[in-house]
Amino acid sequence: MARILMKGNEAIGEAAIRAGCRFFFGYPITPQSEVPEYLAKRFPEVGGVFTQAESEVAAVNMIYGAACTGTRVFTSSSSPGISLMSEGVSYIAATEVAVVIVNIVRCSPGLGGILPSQGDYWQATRGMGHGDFRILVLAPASVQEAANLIGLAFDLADKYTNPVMVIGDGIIGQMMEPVEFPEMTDPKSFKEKPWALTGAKGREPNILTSLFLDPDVLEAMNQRLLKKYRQMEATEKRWEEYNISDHMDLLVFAYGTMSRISKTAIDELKQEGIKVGLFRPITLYPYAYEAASALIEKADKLISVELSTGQMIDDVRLASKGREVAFFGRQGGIVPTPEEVKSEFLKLVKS
Amino acid sequence: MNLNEDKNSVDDESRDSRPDPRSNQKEVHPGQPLGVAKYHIYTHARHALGGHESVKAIYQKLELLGPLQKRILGFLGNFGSGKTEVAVNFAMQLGLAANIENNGVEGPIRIIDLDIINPYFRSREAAEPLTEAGVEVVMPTGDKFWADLPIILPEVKGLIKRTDGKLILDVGGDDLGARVLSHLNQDFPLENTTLMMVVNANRPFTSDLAGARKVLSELEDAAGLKFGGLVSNTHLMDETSPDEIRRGYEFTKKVSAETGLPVLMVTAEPRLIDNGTNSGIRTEEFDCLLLPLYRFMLPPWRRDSIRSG
Amino acid sequence: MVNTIFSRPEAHRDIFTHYCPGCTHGITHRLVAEVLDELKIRERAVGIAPVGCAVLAYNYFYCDFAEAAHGRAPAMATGIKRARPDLIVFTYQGDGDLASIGMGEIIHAANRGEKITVIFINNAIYGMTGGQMAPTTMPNQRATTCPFGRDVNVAGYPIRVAELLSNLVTPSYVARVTASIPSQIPNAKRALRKAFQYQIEGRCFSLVEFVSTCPTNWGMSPIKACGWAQSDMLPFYKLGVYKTPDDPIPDAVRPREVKK
Repeated sequence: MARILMKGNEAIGEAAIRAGCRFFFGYPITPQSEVPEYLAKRFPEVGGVFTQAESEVAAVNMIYGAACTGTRVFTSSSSPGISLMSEGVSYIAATEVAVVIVNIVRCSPGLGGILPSQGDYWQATRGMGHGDFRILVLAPASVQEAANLIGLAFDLADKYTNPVMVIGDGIIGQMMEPVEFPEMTDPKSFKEKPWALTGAKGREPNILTSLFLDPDVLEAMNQRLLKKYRQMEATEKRWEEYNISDHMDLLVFAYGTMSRISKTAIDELKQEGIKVGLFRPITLYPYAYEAASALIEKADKLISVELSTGQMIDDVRLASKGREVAFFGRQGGIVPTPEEVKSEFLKLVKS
Repeated sequence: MNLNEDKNSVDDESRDSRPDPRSNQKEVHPGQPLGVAKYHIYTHARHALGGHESVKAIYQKLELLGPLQKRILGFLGNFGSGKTEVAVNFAMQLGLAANIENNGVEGPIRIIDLDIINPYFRSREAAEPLTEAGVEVVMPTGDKFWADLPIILPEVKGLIKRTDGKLILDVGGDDLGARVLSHLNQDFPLENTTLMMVVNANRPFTSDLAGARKVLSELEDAAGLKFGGLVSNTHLMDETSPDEIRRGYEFTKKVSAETGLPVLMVTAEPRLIDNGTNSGIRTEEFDCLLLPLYRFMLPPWRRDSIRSG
Repeated sequence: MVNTIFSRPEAHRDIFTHYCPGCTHGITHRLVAEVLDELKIRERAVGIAPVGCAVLAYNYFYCDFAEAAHGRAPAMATGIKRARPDLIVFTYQGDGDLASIGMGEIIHAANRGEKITVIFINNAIYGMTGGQMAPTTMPNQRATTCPFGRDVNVAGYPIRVAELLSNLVTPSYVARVTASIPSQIPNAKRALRKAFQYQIEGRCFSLVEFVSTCPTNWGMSPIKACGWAQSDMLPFYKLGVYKTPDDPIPDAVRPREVKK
C-alpha cells in the first residue's frame, strides 16, 4: 500500500480499522478529537459503529460492555478524560476483557491546557485506577509508530485480555507524517472467545464480574493477575537504543516527542565528538529495566528528559541501581528546542 | 506553638505566588516577543526576506492570473491539506512584494487566522515572520493566543468590507472550519473575492477525484460561497520528490477539468525547485503560479524549526 | 394424569436468593425470568447487574450476565447492544444506582434510544449500604443519612424517573408498576413483556419502574411495608404507562429528508 500523509490522530483511527476494530465509543476533547472525527467519517465505509458517549465515564463503560462480547473495541481521550475513565479501566482490568485506550496527553493538572505534555506517565504506568492492577502502556514517537503500536495494542489486549494504553503527547496526535498501513484484518477472522457474553445457547451462562466476596477467591484472582503481569514483564518489554557506544559521556532517557528532540541534539553533539546515547522506552509498562541497566554501565552520566516535572525518572532510578540521574524537563505545554536540550546535555557532560 | 500565629507559612507564600489568571489579558502585538510562546516558528523568515527575486517572479506571474488579483483571497480545504502553510507563504510573499516599490502590489497585506477547529499548527504560530515580512496578522492575542476556543475577532467583519490592500483568509479544516465563512458570507464583496480549495492528493478523503469533488461541495455548502480556483499542494513532507509535485499537479488539473475551476497555484518546497543544479521542477512546467513553500509548521525537533531561529 | 401447573422458570436458577423476607426483588426476578422464557429469549439474553442489593443478580438468572460499576449499567448495555444487536440486553438497577450516581447514563441511553430494557427498582432507600437516603426517598421519610426525615429544603423532592424519562422526545416505552400488591402483579408482568417485546422488534428503549419494598431498612414487617408502599408511595409514584413508541413526535423536531 502507498504511503499517505496523516495526522497522528487520524493514523490511530485508520490503524484500529486495519486491526479489525469496528467499535469506537468516545467523548470529544482536545487534542485528540480527530480520532473520533476520522472514525465518524471512515467507519461507515467499513461497517464500523461509532458512538459519541455523553461523557468519558459512559464511554469507558461502553467499551467495557462491547469488550464483554469479545469484539475488538477502543476509545481515545486526553488527560482529564482519562482520569474520568480510570474507574472503568479498573473494572475492565479486574474483569479481564480486552480494550485499547488512547491518551493524547495535554498539560498540567486540573483543566491545565491543550498543549503537549508527558504529565500522565505516573497515571498510566502505576495502575491508573483503584485497586491493584496494571495496564500495558505503549508510547509511539512518530505517526508511523503510532499506527504500528495501535495494531500491536489490539493484539496484546487480546493476548492478555487486559487494557492496553497507547500514550502520545499532543504533538504525536497533531503532526502529519507519511504513513503506511498493514493490510485489512477481517474482524470475522478472530477466534471465538469462550468466556464472552454472546447468549447462553447450548452452554452454561457466562458471567463477567469483578465482584468476589470470598477473600480467598479474591486473593487468588489478584495472584492470577500478578502472574499475568509477570508474564508481560518477561515478554513484552520494548525499547529503542540510539547512538549507543561502549563508553558514552552521557546516556539520555526520553520517550515520545522528547526522544525525537533528544535525537536532534545527540546528532549535533556527535559531530562535536561528544558521545551521547539514547534509551527510548516503547513500552512504559513494562519498563525495560534490565536493558536500561546494561546501557547505564557504559555511560558516565545519566539524564531523564521529559515534558513533566520528572516522572519517568523514577523508572530510570530503578534501573540505575543507585547512580545519580539528572533531570531536564519543561511543563505547561512548552516544548524545549533541540538547542535547549543540547546545552543541558553539554552542561552535564562538562560538569 | 500557636500555629495560627505563623503567618508566613509555606502555604501562604505558595498561594501568594499563584499566577493571576487575568495577567495575560493585555494586548500582545505580533512582532513583539510573545513571552512564553514556545510554539512559534521563526525559521524561514530570513530566507524568505532575502528572496526578493522569487517574489518578483511570482508577482509577474500573478498579474497573468486574474483571480489572484482579487482583494480577498481565501484558502480552504480538508484537514491537513496544507491551507495554513499555503496561506502563510502566500501572504508573506505578498507582504514582501508590497515592500518593493512600483511593482503593483498595494498594501496593507493582512492575514486573518479563522481557524476555529484546531488548536495546533495554526497560522498565528507564524505571526513573527509574517510581521517581519510586513504582513498584519489578525489573531486572538494575550492568553487567547493558545485558546481552544472558536474566537472570531470583531474586527474581521470590518476588514472584509474594506477596499484597500489584500486580505488573506486562513480558514480552518473541513466543512466544520468552513462554517465560519457562512456566518460572514453576507459581507463578502463577491466580485472581489477568490476562494481556493487546497488539494493534497496524499491525504485521506481527497486521494481520488470523487473524494476531492465531495470535499469541494461540502466546503461550498458549509461556507455558503463558491470556489474560484484550486491550489495543488500534493506532498509527502520530507519524502516529496519533484515527480510527486508533478503528479499532484496532474491530479489537480483533473479536478479542474471536472469542476471548471482553474488551477491557480502549485506549491513546492524550495529544495524541489530547479536552481540550475538540482534538476527540480521549473516554472514553465505549470500554467499557474509556482509558489515556493517554506515550511513554518514544523515539529519542534526539526533543526530548521522556529525555535532554532 | 398429573400436570405441572407451576414451576420455576428455566431462566431462574434453582437457588436461594439473599433477599430479605418481604422484599419484592424476588418477585421481580421471577417475573423477568418468566418473560425471558415465554418470549424464548433466554439463550440470547445478557443481563447487567447493578451495584445495590441486586449486585448478585447474576447468580439467580440463568443467562449470560455482566456486573457493572455503580450506575454505569446503561452505558455497558449500550456497548454490548451496539456490538451485538442480535442479543437481548437488559439492566436491573436500583434507585441509587439509576437515579443518583447513574442519572447521566440512564438519561442518555434513553435519549439515544438504545434498544435495551431497564428494570428499575424504586424502594425509596439504599438497601445494600444500609438504609441511606435515596433520590426517591419520600419527604420526611427517615433514613440513616436523614435521621430526622428527608428535608426537602436541603435534599429537594423525590425524583420521579418514569415521568422524567417520558419527557424525552426519543420514542421509548416507560411504565411504572408494582409487585407489592398481589393484584398488580399481572400488570407488572404485562409491562415487562411489552418492554422486552419492543426490544425484540428493535423498536425502542424500554424501562419498567417497580415501586418496591424494603422492609428491613424501612424498619417494618413485610405486610406493613407493602401497606406503606401503597399508602405513601403510590399516591406520588402513580402506576401506569407513561410513554409508548407510538407517541407523536413534535413537528418542530421531526427529521427532514437529509440530502446525501
